[in-house]
Amino acid sequence: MSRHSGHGPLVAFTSVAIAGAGLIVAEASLEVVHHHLVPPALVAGVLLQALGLAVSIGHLGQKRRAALAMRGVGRSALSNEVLLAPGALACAALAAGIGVWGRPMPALTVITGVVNALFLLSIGLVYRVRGQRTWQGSSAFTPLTGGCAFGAIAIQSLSVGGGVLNMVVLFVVLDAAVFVQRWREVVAIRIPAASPAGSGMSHRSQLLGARFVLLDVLPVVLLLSWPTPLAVAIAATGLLVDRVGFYALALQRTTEHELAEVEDLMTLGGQTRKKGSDS
Amino acid sequence: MSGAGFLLDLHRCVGCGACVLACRIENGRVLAAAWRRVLPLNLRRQPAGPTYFLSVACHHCEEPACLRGCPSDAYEKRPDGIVVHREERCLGCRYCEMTCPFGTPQFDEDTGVVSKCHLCAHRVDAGLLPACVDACPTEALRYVPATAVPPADAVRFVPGFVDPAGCRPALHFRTPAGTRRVELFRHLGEALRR
Repeated sequence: MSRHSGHGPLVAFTSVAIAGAGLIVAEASLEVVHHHLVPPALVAGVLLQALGLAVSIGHLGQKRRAALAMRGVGRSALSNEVLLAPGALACAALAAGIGVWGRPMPALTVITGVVNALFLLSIGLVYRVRGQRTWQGSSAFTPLTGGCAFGAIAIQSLSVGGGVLNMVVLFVVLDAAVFVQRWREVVAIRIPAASPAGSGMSHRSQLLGARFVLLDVLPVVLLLSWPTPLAVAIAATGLLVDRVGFYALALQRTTEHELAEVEDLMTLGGQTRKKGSDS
Repeated sequence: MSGAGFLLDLHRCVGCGACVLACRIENGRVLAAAWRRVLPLNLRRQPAGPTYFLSVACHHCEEPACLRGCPSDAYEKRPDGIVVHREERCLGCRYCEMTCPFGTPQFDEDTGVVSKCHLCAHRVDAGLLPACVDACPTEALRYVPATAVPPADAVRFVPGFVDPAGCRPALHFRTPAGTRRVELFRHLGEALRR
């Protein structure tokens, strides 16, 4: 477990922001493929993103210094994300405003989709921290794929887009492929018996399995039968479980963790030596 | 050594914690948020490995992960290699807690910012030793200025202390002397590499 305690605000911020940006990317994809703009989906995405940004600023120890977070752009992954967040929100708000009150501009919607996709990718890259064993590999892409899957499910299940089942299947299959890879990576990690890791790792299969079923299996099964709001509720729960699991499964290679590994090794060495002398 | 740092003699360290206490008094830290800590290895004295204590704080790395990740430029590496944290620039986002693999930055709920060991830069600038080094009764913990070279027998890594993030910590170790202990270190090192 990471020493960073109190992951609640991070879970809240990332869940809401991923849901909002995912909705916008899915909407932009719908515009590109079906030439069909759904302003309510954009508005919902904007509201979710704004809420996420507010929670993000709220969790800072020094909220009034929030603007300083841009100083590390280019060097710090967190600064890059901070730069993209308001940019993605501004684009989406403009696209939604024009979509609701004016004549939709497909080019703007596409640009909005691209910026939001980059924002989702930047969320993943923030946590690609060297030394964090469970945040490597494919985990950087799960906010992007998970967000898009959620967005497509939301549009289809609320029937605001209608007829986008092929898009739902595409995004969900993509997310499932990336997530299964992450699942395999996390399960392959050996945890020392004396490790100070939190209880999350001992329930990793349950956490990862619940996320997979809730976001990638159940909503699609439901939507294949008929569009139902229940599917979006289940997918939202899946997204929340995804973020809870992401932080609960944090496993930092701290000195304490390394010492625990050495202790484990010594215990194993002692047992092997004892067995050898017994035989 | 390309910057100031510490040298820890594992044979001399008895795990008394005087360094932790001295650091806390010098910098006004409560125990729960102490900048230095002493981590034991093999307190049960299993015969398959050595027993020693790692007295660790900020390692003033050559490539600090905290500095690399900080979004607000709150970390700064001085010309002498000491990594200092500027509290007035800190957002309290706690990202450095995630990026530092050595558990160095400490978040203070009261001030809303992070803090960490600054190698007693105020003392070093005044020609004094860092408080932890000054208090060490066995001279196990030593200060290595940027201009000095660590002893030839000093090593960068020992079992239990690795550099998972490629930060190149400015901490060197002297490993226990004696044939049996050297053998144990060698066996452990080989096993960990496997």
